[in-house]
Amino acid sequence: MLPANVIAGMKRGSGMMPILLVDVQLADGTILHWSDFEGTFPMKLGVPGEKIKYEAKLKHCGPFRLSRSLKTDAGDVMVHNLSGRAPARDVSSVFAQSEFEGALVVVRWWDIAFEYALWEFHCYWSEPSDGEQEVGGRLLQLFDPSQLDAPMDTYSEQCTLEYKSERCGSTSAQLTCAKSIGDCTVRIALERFNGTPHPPPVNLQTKSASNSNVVVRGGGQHGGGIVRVNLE
Amino acid sequence: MGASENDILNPDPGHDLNPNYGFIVDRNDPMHRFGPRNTRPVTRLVESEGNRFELTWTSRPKAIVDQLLRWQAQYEQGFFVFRDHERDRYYSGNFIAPLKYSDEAYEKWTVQGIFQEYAGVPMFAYPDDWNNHGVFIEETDDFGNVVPATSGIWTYQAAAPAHGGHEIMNAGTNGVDFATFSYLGYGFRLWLRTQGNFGQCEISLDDAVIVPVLDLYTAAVVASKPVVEHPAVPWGLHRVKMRTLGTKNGGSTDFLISCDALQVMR
Repeated sequence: MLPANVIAGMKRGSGMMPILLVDVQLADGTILHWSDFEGTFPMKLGVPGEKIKYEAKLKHCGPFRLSRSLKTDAGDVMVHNLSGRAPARDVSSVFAQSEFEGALVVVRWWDIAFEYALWEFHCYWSEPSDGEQEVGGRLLQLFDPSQLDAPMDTYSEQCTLEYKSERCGSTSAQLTCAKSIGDCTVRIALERFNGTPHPPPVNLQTKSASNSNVVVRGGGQHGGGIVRVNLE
Repeated sequence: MGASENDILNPDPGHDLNPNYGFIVDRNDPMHRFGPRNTRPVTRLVESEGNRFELTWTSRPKAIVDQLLRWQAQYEQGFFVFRDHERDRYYSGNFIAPLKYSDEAYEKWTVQGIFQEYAGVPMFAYPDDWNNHGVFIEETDDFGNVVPATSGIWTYQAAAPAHGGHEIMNAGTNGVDFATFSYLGYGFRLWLRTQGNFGQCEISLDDAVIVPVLDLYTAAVVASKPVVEHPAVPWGLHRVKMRTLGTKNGGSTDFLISCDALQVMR
């Protein structure tokens, strides 16, 4: 909730447009502070609250498309690439030296008179592109659901395959199968059993936004398996 | 390399380097505007692009043409100063594109170009004709809204000694409350009144403190007047912040801080 004085100021019919502040932290720890309005402002990444010069390198940032669903909240960012020593200019040099993919980014819509962030978006940099006059990328939300690996089947103690189907592969004389690992052992198809006869590991119950994929496979050549599901 | 704000293209009013009289001065609209039906417009300052001068030099000798071309090339990635003798103003900028020139015969030439003033660039002389070029930003706008961005409790009230007869007042008992004017322009004068129960505040411009302790105490009531004058500010979007300090003069009976009006040079 915004403070009352900020709300009153935003309601006014005149004033100054908020500016954009973008803090970027690269994988090697380098922190960059960019804005579309050169000045000194409190940083978010680095020493939070301490003031630092924001360089006016930002051409635009957004629009951001936000959703309350599992769609990834995202926006575009574009930084000019004109300044610095040619041909290795400022921003492209940073691109060349450090990995931008996955860099932590905080975008703030900053009211410079109230010294207050009207809106803040924590995200990571993806799809970095390096052009002659400008460089840019896509800013995707942290805990991006499109990064999650979802199994083809639900986790279950029991096998989900149809008994004696091609994927099951059992040639047992037993008429039925209880889909348990015990029954499967008797029906000699254990290598294709796709159940999980124990609770899933803790690290599958929560997922960070890192690139480390947790791979869990069902059993056997034809059973289980894992697929990457894009939820967008 | 010397300071470019001292490199004046046309310091002498009678020289051929002055463009033809009657040049056009233009500037981008600095605002986003929305004009709803049946009510007042809504505006927000966005840009700070400086003045643009469409200049023509006709029937000039070749020496002048060469000089103009040299100035264009010399400063095409820097800036120099153009003097507007009619308004007695100096502008820092450069020609935004190569100059156009044509031969008129009889060894006379015509040159055309656009001089663009830049924001945030030092100037040879900062404008200070406050009576003719200064505009006021009061504590409330024409529609009754409080103009400065405020933090803490600032009470709008009538006060005869204040500029325009009104002010916003803070108790001044802490060191964090503030009132910030935002503006587009050059330098500013901060108009404040003083009296026996006023405290002290800090004045900063664009986040840099320019008056660490401004004592608003006077034994008698003094009507609003410029108590801080800071003309040496390049063109641009600026903010002037009054921050309460929670301190006062030994003679003062209270810590009150009045925020009254800002006069801005345009």
